[in-house]
Amino acid sequence: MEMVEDNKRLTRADLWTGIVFILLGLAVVYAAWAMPRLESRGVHPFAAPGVVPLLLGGLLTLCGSLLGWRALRGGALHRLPAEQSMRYLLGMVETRRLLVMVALTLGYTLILIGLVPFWTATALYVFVSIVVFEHFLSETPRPLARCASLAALQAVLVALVVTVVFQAGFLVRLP
Amino acid sequence: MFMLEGLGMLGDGILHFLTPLSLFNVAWATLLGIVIGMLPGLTATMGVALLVTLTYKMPGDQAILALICMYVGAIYGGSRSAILLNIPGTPASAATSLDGFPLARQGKAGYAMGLATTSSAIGTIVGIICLAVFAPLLAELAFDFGTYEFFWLAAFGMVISGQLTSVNDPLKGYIAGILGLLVAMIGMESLQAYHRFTFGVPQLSGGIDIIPAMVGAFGFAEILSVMRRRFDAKVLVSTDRVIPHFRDVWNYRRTAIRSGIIGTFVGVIPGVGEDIGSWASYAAARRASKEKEKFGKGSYEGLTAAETGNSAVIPGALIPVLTLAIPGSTAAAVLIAAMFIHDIRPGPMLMIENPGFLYQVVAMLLFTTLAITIYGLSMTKILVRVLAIPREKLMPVVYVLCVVGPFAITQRMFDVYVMVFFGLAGFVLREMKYPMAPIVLGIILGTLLDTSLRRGLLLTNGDPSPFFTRPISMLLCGITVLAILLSIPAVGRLVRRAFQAIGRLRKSSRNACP
Repeated sequence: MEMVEDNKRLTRADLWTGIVFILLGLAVVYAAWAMPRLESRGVHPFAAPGVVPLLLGGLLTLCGSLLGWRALRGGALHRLPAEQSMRYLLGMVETRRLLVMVALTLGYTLILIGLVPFWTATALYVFVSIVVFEHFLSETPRPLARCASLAALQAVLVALVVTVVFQAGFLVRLP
Repeated sequence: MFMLEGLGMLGDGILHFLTPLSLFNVAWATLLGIVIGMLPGLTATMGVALLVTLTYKMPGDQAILALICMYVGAIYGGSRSAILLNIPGTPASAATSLDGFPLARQGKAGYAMGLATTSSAIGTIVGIICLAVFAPLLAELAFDFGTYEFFWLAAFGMVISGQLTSVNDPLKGYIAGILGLLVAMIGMESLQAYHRFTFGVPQLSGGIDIIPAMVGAFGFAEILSVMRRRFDAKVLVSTDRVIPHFRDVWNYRRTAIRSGIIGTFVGVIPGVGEDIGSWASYAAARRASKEKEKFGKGSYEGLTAAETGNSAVIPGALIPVLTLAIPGSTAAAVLIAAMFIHDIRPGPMLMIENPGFLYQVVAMLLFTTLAITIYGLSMTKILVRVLAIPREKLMPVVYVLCVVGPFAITQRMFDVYVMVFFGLAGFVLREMKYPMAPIVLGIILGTLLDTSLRRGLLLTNGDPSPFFTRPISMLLCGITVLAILLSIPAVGRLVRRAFQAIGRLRKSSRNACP
């Protein structure tokens, strides 16, 4: 039963990704068509830089259409049962865990690095990650004081070891 | 004469690595590989990709040695968690858990791990023999390959990888492959130096580097999958004997050798890796077994087949790497990138430029096989303690390495952004059941496919006939078209029906004239 329901959601996703691939394929075809043919340099039209991208864009459009068509025939537009709805999906523990992990990693990579020295950013990220997942998002939360002190120790150790190894060992100037 | 020369070079290869430094590198890299393979969420490809970033300052031979040890160690290490947790440590061990976990529940976890160790060693040895014998022959053959043949080889690789890594849904395999090829189109192309799809971003003109992309797709994406799960798995304990009885190894010698050969063959197929090798060997063993009913319930034979099959893929995957620069698996794709970093150019010219290197690789594989055997039979019970590390503590550290690794090679944040992009995209695609291997293969083979096709057409001034008339081209073209046709469900059904009809005809004709 679960398998069938899972397939339904996947079929719906296939329809959307099919459309995305059609659009992406067409965009690639357009960009490839607009590439210079370099005829003035005596290049045969079949050997121009846009040839392979043109073929690939066409193939992607074809495959995207097949995927979308198959999903439509598989009932992609049928109503999903309530427990498959987007709102239910967003409320799941797994989804929350995933979103928190994405937020933490992106916050570390795109914001913290560059804003503060590498080792501080790393220590902060490791610390927050461990505390959030061991205490706040855990099914069996560990006491905050113990969890935070161990996390702090690990965070500082990891930050120091990585910084020293890469900076002194591999002579990398960390960001 | 040829064989003797080969043996001599193999001896040189072994002697080359019989130094304390090399043995030390074998020891730590294999151990690290086993640990990485054991931990669910850390795969061989990710381990090799991350280790490239840590070894790029080492001399080339030592760096490749460490990477191969990591590769073999990780594929072998995956069996530990497959047996003790019922979660394959790497996808390569999925078939191992079918019989390994039931054995662990019967209290034979240690014995299962011991048998997995000897099976892995046998698998690698069978693969090594094939590598040493067939790679020089294939390299010889590859000299006749021109630009036309390389085009078909790349096309065939993409088609077969798309098909075999997504057996239930080849369409998604093909889409994954096309996406990979499109990624390879980014940057300056080599024939007319035109910048494609760079959108004015200077960092894109060099193209997308494979290492950050792999660290993203196999590292970051896996971290997200592991952290999303609500519960951590429980580890079964092993208290029984580890070293397998000789009779158990000997009884299944046929299974082991058959699985080794199947694994090696699967390894040679571009972009089709250990997981498929393992499943194919397992299926073949079940079909041929006298004890079919035991499979899935704790069969020694099933475990032997799965573990021999996945380990044999590694040397198999290195055959096209060394002779054609075409990766046989995703980790092998990383190895190609690493070889280029260290100025070793794999491909047909390798046997001329650096004839000893092939045998050095054989020696590396021999050393690491010895290492996994020693570790596996002596330290199994200590090593499994690694499985007790909670993912909450481990994964943030792995992510830090995913960030710092790609940065270390080129020292630019752009590669870190590439890693993040491929991680998120890889995660989403994997959730929607797209295989990762064709994407990787596409990134590696895209340039070869593009330049071979256009160079061929430049040479003939637009005439495509050599692509279809040269003998090897014709053969490769035929296989590629056939593979595409067979993946279309309607054609597949038609062929099956035709075979059944032929079968019926034969039967009736035999009945008619006794």
